[in-house]
Amino acid sequence: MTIYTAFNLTIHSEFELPELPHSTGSADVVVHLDPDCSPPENSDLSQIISFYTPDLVFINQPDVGGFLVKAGRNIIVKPIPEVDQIRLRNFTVTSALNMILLQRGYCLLHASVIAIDETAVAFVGPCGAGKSTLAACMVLRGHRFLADDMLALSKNLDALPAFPRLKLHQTAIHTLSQYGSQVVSVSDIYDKHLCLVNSFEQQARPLRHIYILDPVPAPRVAVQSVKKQEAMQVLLANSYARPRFAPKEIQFLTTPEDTSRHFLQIAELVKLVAVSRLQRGSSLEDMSLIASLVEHDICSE
Amino acid sequence: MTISTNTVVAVSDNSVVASLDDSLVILSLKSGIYYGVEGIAKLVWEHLDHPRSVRELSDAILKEYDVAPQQCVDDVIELIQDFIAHGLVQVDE
Repeated sequence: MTIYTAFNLTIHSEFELPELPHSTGSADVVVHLDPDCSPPENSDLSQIISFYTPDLVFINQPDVGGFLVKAGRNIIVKPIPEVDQIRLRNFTVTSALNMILLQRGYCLLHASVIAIDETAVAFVGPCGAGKSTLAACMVLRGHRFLADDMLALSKNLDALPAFPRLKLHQTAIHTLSQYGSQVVSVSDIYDKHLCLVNSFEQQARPLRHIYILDPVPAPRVAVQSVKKQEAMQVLLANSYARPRFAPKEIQFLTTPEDTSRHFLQIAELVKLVAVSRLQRGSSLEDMSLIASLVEHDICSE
Repeated sequence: MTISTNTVVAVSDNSVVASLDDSLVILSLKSGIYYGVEGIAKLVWEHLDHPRSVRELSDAILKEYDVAPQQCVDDVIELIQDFIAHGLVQVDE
């Protein structure tokens, strides 16, 4: 077993997960390989999430394998023969681990998160809106990195440190390279580069502000205030495992308890954390302008 | 469904409500759809802390808003029908 940490959990794994920082201590989560692992009865193997009860989830990813995720504690993996190791690891530390976080009751949002001073700032938006690029841009301006793609919030609204990896498009890497080479490309899968960020923040930080990145290019870069109802709508739509609004493959959160818990968590978040909308132009060069705007906005609070 | 002033209504077990600054958001667990509720509708919802008749609800509105009593009853009935249609409220039998 190799011992790692992610999202403040100590993870013991039977196979190497070099994406995660090493750690010590007793296991919160155990990752097993089991060639005999089979889907629970009543699984619908035409679906990616083919079986769901809150404490038992079976994820069936045809090009990687089957993942049985149990009670926020166990990930049992049955890889396909000659599986691509990078895909296997990537799926384990994203989809399978996200399910563990969900089972542990964390509120999960699609967001990239950085630390400014002692607090966390999150960027929310659809794929391609530029949240990872903006997070990378903020890191290159001296802020610390907390999470890419998945924000896990504790009950008291602390943003947990994920792991020091950031996915960026090749064009974004090219644009950001003018700042220096802190961002190092390590591999390319799914048409994106998975990058190592050296400035990783290892402490959970209280979430201070959420910026919604507008996917539609605006004539000028600006920060706009957002009404609480609208903020609620956007955050529900950007929730992981959100009820009803989700793309089909993650529309699995079916128990009323899960749905109402998540709904109330988002309402609490909207009440306590500032939410604004970031309008931006279409070019990546705008990102540094947006980054300075965010810094200015945070400082003037 | 016919709703009269004597009809007693209650919040459905399938609805979850959260309060934001000046509005409520109500989720219907049945449909997974949620609704933003403000103004008079918010006031009506807040009076549904336990089952109430349409008459009681419209009396509560009349205490806070300057409207004609019959207009108020009509509005409350329309609102309650809307709540029922979305599965947020049910007739208490």
